Amino acid sequence: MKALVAVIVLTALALVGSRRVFVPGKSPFAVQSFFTGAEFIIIGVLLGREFLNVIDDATLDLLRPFVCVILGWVGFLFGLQFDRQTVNKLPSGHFAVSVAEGMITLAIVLPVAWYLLTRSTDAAPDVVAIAAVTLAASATCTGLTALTFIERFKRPAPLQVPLLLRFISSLDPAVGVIAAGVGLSLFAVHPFDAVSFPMTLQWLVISICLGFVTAWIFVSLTLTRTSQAELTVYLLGVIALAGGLAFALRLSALFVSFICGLVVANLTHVRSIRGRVMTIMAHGDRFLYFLLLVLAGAYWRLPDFPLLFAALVYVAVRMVGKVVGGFLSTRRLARHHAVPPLIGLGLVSQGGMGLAIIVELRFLVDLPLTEAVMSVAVLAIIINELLAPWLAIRTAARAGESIS
Amino acid sequence: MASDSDRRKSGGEHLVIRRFFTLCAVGVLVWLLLRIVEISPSATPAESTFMLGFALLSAALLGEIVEHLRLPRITGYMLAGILFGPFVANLLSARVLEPLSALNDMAFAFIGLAAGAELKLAILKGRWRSIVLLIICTATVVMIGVGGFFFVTAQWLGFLGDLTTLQILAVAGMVGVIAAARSPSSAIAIIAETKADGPFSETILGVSVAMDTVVIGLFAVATAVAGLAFAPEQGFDLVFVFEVTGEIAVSIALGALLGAIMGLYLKRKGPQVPLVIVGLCFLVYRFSEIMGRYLEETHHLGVGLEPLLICAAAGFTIQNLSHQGPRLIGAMDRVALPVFVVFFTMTGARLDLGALATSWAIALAIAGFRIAMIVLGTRLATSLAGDPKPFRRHCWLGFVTQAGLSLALISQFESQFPDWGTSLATVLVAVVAINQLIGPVAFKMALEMVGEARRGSSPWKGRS
Repeated sequence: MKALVAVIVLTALALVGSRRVFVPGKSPFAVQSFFTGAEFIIIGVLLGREFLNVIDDATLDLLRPFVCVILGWVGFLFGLQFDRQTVNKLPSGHFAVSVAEGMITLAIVLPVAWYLLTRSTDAAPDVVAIAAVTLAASATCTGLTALTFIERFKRPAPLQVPLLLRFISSLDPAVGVIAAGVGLSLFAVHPFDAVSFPMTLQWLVISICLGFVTAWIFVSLTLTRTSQAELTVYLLGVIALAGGLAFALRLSALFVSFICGLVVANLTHVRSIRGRVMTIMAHGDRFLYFLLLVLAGAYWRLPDFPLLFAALVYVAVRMVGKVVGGFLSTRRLARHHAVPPLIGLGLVSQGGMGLAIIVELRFLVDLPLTEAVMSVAVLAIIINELLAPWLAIRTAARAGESIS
Repeated sequence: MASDSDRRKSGGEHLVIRRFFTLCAVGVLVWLLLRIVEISPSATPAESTFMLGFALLSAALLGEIVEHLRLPRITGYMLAGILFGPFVANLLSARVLEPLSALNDMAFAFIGLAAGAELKLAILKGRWRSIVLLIICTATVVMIGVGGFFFVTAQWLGFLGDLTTLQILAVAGMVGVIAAARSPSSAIAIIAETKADGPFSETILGVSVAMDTVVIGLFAVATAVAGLAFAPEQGFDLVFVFEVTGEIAVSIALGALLGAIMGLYLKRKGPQVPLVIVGLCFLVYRFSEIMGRYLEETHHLGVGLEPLLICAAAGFTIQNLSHQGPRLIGAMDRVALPVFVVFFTMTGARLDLGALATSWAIALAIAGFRIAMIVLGTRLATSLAGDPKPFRRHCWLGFVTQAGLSLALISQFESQFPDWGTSLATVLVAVVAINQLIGPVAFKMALEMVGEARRGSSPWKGRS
């Protein structure tokens, strides 16, 4: 009965979320800033093992194949956005700014996470490594939800900074997905040291190959005339194949399907059906996103004091990474445009991709350390999501955008 | 110079060859991966997911290939299930399929909803005489005919040797009832694939759905009679018959209520509607399952709710008592193909080929006799109803398929009589397997022959 109630609640929440959130309301900013999606993680926490236990371990086990598909879906859709034509249309330098910002954040968070995890746990070095890489990879991701507040609470004005923030938020998760994919390929279950480096490197090659092969399958299926119904079947089939294969080999489903989506998006003859694929994916996108938020909450364990502290440290280090990354990456752009030095404060929202990376780690490496990492990261994401609207508005205001 | 039809034919052949090579490539890739990489048992959900992907792709490809051979796509899906299932390639093994059972349950309920939504009262009103006569005549003739055939041939079935004549007669009654069961899921899949529209398809679907309800009731009566034959001291279990009647009534009432609620929801437009429908189907199945378990554990009632009936009643209510029928069908069309692919591939993978191999001769005889009885029953019914000649001639082709309900009744039968029930179940499962393989082909042929299948307008066919 519990599983049934859990599934009813999950479906209802995902449905309500997909209909209600991101829809401009009439309530004041302070109220709206609470509803960025983080509330669904909190609801998941309440329904999960730590509180009501409506979504218990049995339900989570039942949903494992679906989580696999959700992660594959998220990765594929993200990769699909990177088609050459769209990327070429981006304003000059924005792509480089986004990648640089992500990499700088990664470079700042990774050593700190690695150092702290090494000092505070006695887990095996490869587990520590993968946990640190995942935390850093998740930290690089920026969500778009906070940026909608700039649009909701502004007067019509030139949107130079919000636009730049939007570009960075759309593109920098790629750094996170690649970092997580590389990290999982190198470290997860395959002990990593200098001697075995070439051996572990093969898993990275396999990850990339899987992405290419599944993309090839999709492309070859869509070479001939394909109805929307057939396209849906092929799409679901390829996503399940890519995500499931990656997970079965203990590789990153997000990364493999990201590569798959990327390759599909950039093959000339498939570009004509890219729009149709996007339409299919748009039908399920929000629903699956909110399902992921609730599930992540359900997986969460109540942290003890050191973990609470660790979450605050993670939030702080990530914010430093974002600020430094934002500042350094936009210096060249700032010569010609009014870019505030603290633009990174507008990138605090961690978003769905950051969460997906953490959920994936929890799925692939089921160890006490990864459970702790998940607790820290989910808590940090909630804090970031609550702070993000305020900081985004403030960043835009400082840049001279009019805020009501 | 090549004519248009030649060009079309050559294009079709080209597509079949291309699809065949893609299928081989995908199959070889998965096979190689499984040979090279050892997947740990703890990764079963992931393995199931990737096998689900493989099943979706391979079944869709085989469906397209067999369509060019003028066979229904669901035959291709089932063929994929058989080829990659436990009895041939063993890629879709029982272990792999187990975590995906929720998906199969959902698909079953979804098909029930689709079947109900396809039943339009306005058309059925004009066909009620035919429908009632078809139900009465085919059920009676098939039950008596197949039951009688089984009774006569039972002496050659060694495992029934210890039973008295009265007990064999009781078992024959149950076998007869199982033989009367149809497969609304196959019917709805073929109708959706061929976009068939007209009195013939409506009648076949109406009879198939209604017959499931009748068979459930009749099976309850047959079980009670069998109880009398095997344990006469306990008397006729009238309570059980009432319980089953109640189960049917409650299922239909719940379905009507669900339909009314869904009708209100469907008034709102939104891209999420197909996903909500799929989720709802899953919930209906789980709810029925949990209620059945609850009634068994707390009140020792061996009955439960019927998810197919609930969903069919809901679909029927939406189609006929609200204005949202077209919207429901439109939303379901968007997700119907993946659902059908998953359902029929799993059906194929679960077909017990082992049972077919061990008892193919007797199974073939029973299946053949069942078809003969269906021909007789439908001829009688359509003649009495005064249906047109093509209808009379081809009607039987729509009633060959058997699937879910028959298998559920067989397993009930098996658990009731563990001594010899397993052996008999093997034979009956083999009969269902034969009917499930030839039934869809027969129904598609019938739709084409009566002119209700829209050639070349399959909603799932590729478009320019």
